Amino acid sequence: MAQSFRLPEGGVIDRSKSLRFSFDGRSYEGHPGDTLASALLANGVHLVGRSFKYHRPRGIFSAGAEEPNALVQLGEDPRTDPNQRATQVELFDGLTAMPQHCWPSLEFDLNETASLASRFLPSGFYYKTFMWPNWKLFEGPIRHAAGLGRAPRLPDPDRYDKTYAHCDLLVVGGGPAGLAAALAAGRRGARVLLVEQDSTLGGHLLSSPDSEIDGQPAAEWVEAARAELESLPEVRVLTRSTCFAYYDHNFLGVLEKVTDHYAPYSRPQHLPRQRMWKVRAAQVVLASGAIERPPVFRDNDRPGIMLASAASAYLRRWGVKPGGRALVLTNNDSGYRAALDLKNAGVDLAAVIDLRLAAEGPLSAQARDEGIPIRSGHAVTGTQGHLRLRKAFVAPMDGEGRRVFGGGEPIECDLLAVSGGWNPTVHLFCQSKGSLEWDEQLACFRPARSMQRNQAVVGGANGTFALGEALREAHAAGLQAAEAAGFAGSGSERQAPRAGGEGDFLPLREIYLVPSIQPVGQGGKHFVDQQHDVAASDLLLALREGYRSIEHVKRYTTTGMATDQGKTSNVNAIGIVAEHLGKPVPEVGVTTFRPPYTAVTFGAFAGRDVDGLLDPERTTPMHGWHQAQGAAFEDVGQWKRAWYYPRPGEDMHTAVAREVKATRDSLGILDATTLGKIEVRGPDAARFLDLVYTNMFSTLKVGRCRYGLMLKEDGMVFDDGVTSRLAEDRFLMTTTTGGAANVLDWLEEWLQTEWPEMKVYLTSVTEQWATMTISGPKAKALLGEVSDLKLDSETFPHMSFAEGRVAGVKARVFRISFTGEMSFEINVPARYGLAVWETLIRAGAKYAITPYGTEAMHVLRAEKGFIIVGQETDGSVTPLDLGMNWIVSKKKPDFLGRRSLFRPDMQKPDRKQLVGIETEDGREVLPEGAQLVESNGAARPPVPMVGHVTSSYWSPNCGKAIALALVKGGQARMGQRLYAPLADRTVACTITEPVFFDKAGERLHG
Amino acid sequence: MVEDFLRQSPLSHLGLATHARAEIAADDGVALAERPFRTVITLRGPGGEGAFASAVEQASGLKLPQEVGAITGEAEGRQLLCLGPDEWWLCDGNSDAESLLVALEDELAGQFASAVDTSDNWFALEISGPQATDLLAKACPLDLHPRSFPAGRCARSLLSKAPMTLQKLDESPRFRIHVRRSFADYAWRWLSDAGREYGVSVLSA
Amino acid sequence: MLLIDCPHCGPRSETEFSYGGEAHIARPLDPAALSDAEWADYVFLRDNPKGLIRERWMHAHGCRRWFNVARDTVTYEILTVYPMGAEPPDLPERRYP
Repeated sequence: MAQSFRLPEGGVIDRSKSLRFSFDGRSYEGHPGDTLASALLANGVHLVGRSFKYHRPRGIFSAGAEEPNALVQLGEDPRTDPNQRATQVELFDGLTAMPQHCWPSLEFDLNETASLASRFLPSGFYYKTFMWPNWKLFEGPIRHAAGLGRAPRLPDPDRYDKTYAHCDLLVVGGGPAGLAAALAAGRRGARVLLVEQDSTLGGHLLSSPDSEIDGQPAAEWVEAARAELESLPEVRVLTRSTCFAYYDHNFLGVLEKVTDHYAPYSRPQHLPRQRMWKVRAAQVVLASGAIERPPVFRDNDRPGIMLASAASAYLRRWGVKPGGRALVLTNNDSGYRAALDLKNAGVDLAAVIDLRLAAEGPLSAQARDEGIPIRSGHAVTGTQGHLRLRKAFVAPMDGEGRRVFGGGEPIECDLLAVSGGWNPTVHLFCQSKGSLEWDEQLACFRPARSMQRNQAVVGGANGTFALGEALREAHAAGLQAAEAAGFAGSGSERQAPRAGGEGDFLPLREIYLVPSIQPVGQGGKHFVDQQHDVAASDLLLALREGYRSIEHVKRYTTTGMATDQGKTSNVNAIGIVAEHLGKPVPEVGVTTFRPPYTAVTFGAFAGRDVDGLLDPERTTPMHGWHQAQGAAFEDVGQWKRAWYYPRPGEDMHTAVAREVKATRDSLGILDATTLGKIEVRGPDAARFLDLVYTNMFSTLKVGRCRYGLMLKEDGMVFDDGVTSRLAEDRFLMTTTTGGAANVLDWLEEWLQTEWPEMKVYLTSVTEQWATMTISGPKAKALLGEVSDLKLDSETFPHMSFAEGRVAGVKARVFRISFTGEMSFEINVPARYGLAVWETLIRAGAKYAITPYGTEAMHVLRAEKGFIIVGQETDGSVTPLDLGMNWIVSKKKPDFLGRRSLFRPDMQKPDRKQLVGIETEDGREVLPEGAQLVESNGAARPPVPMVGHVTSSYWSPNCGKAIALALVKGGQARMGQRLYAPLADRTVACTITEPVFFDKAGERLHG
Repeated sequence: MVEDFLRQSPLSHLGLATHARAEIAADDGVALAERPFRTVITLRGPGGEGAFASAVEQASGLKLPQEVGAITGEAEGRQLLCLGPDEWWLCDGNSDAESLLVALEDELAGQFASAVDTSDNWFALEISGPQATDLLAKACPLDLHPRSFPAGRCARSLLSKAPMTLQKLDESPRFRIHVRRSFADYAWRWLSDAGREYGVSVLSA
Repeated sequence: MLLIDCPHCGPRSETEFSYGGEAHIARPLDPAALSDAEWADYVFLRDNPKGLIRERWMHAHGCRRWFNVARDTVTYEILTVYPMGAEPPDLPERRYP
């Protein structure tokens, strides 16, 4: 019975080609142009899934983005996507889809017993029931029963793209209104971007191809519009592209599905799977249409029950009969469109059940003329049929629409097309913080006030449902947007497209909750949110329990919180709450709309910023050399720094110990390129540095260097580094690797905002220079051999700099030390970095020159008790806490952060202060971050923490473990014993001075 | 100069020369080329037509552009880029930084101004080809449409996560990008990956 | 995402900017003369108005200049931009419930 529900003709499908696909393990055929939903319906498949909570059989409810039920798992790991709406999945050859959320099978789901126990599963049931002894005990089985599809287990093999886009006008929606707006603006030369979520343009015209626009059938008008837009050079049309988010200042997110509609074997490999467009639009026209609202009646969720507009769409757009014998339930005139379409397609139409007291309106009249049986003032009081609708019960209502008379007459049917009015698709408008007003006549929320400049909402999205009026409104909005973007009219422009009033659905009778023969909650369920299995009885329970705010009712019942975000349920929930509270709908108000409109895969958000492109990996000119030496790398900010250089058979510990020892014994070399470097120039440079450093720089002589400490205004250490005076009005400041950008910004901020009169210019030169530090007893000998510099301590003392040639290249050399050994920091222009480095390595071979990485650097400086900003400090440490009073000028009346040092809290003796720590065992290296306490483990918790370890290493030069720590009142605790409680033991240790090696500092001088 | 034999581009590890072409391949939508070793001197000084502007003009032979985003000079030779109200780049494809610096220092003597050699701080590459704008739009939040960013303009912005200085050299279009030297590898890989859907030719430096 | 009209570069995406908090907080000329409370007020305390705020931004990935912005914290509308050191423009306060 291949495609036995396909009509012999009609629809925008290519009947000359067949596509094979499988659903739930069974094979079917469809045509290009089909969605998975239309192809399933063509094959008579209505049952496509089970519901979230009660595992009730569910079918295809809609024909678009609003679909609450027909969610499928598409494809196979690793190319699998859960929660895909069958109504939006384009069919391709070889498509495989599985129902979600049923076990062991779709037809026989054991968890359906939940449905029998449903009276025990009301809102808040989980909150109330599974609290004791704790939720964890119940989580496993409950999660197994609930959930929505499976995430892929394997890494995503696909590629995703992201791009910025700018336009004069973004039009969201490629229906008649969107096309009219885009044409109006595009013809004037404006840059227009039109996005349409569907695979093709036309919007609802695809389901009414014989409506007339400008005297043409709609299908022809759409085709002409498409062709014209394509011919305009500044217009871009994106189909399969959903505008899912609307942020401030007309910044919008669009997800384009680039290759999802191809069969996997034919997907063009050079194209990304999906593309995220980050659009900045001068003007936005929202023409996002409207979504039909279903009435809420008892057992309204069976397969075979669908929106009336969906029934029309399947008939007209896809040439599919959505059922064999149909019933229509409506409270407005648009339900009759489906009735007429069904009848014309030869579907046996039992009747139209009209909730209105009288069937009034142009379509009702037409239906009556065509002999369609109409029962006005009637309700559907319930339905039957397990895996597919079999019958509906129909009964007359009272005048109020509150109750029905009699037990209900059964009517056999396998399709129930329903309409409860229309909701403008205001999601994007509301995301952009626009506010809504309730339209009494149309019984819907429509846009009232924009929060964004340069925004218009047109057509169905604006509550303008009649086609002709929508086209006029959209045309005008397009012209206005063009005008505002600077594209004036020529005077000989085309008029707005003309059409009739098709789309009007008034009059409408406002009934949200259709009465049944028993009170709500008894004998069946009135589903409001089908995806989350929230019934009207749950809303009423929430109200009985005292919830009043619609936001609270929403969260308690989870109505509207499923993946469809309540597209077909929110207004019904609001209406039912309003009715029950006896309040007008606008007083209940709406819940907040948040992005995304429809789900966006994480891959699209990530784009190509994954794996090796996740974040910039900044490398130094010597990076390749480090790699060739087998160096392990450490991330320091975005930089890749050589961490240590293991030789064959060495682990990190041995390699670092060797590097540390070699440096003190003979000679080490470090790539220090990443240190921040800023040229500070101008007549006020010295005065400026005096204000930003805690110590004095105006007294620094030309040619000399000085270590400096910077504080934030709160008195906390912010950065440190050595600054050298290149000339009277020129300094070269160095910063920490991680702090380089922050320090430059910090200095610029003060110069521009607070001290604009200061004559100082800053230039970052961090990467102008490749920097290599040679350190150790043989440093001077090596430098002497490869440079033309005079290195005697008279001409080139510690803390000074010189310019000369190193390895034939012009260099700036600084004699400064972070290891305590005699050290020279050689700076050459980056392009020569590798050449000079290699020369030093070659020439240093006789001294067993040893490249050392950042870990050895950390050990060497810790042996000397030198701090590292960010390791010993964490934004809450002052220079006094570090025992660095010596660097805080007593003479300067002011510098940044100075005043804070005099706040009483800064003076407290029990502040955490920097100390050294040695373990009593001597060999035990404490973990960094270890807490320190005063008792040895016998004390009962809570045990007061008195400090923590900030740095901790094995020191081969001291032959013992050393550590730095911040300890409360530490400077007064020298020699005291503390304990470090670890996971499996407690380590006894002693507080010491934070200098472990060469306390006199003699080695600096060789 | 002996130093020329010692110098290295930050992309030397990619061995680009081995598959570089003189022109973009017929099927490719974009072409990438590195432009290493160009001179970039960062100038800071007061804007306006004062002593600073004349000193720079004397030393460089180019008028100092006053509007942020404006360029004077010639793309392949010497250029002045206005990057901020008191910040310019003096770029040169031929002369070395040292001689230019000497000339600038001479002319600027006694003024409150700064000229710093930042040639090695930056790395230049060029994007050209019919889809060059589409490629760049993936990485850069600027509006690159000729109406908003015509040839002969420059701007600082972002290339994905790397800060960049962008120039549009012509409407073919061809763009020149400067990123910090340490971002060279990242920028090249990012653009090569993003250009895959158009086809990427590598042009010789 | 905001579109900020940099006084030097024109409208640019928020991505290119960094935020500098409330504007017109002058650093005290003689910090030593301030009481602890006055100093703490300068260092730590900032307004958080619902409505009009005057704040500082820096075009970090552009001209690197600081400037002031008057913005509505409810609508995010940028009312005006003006240079550092300029007197704040006279704008009507915006009141929201």
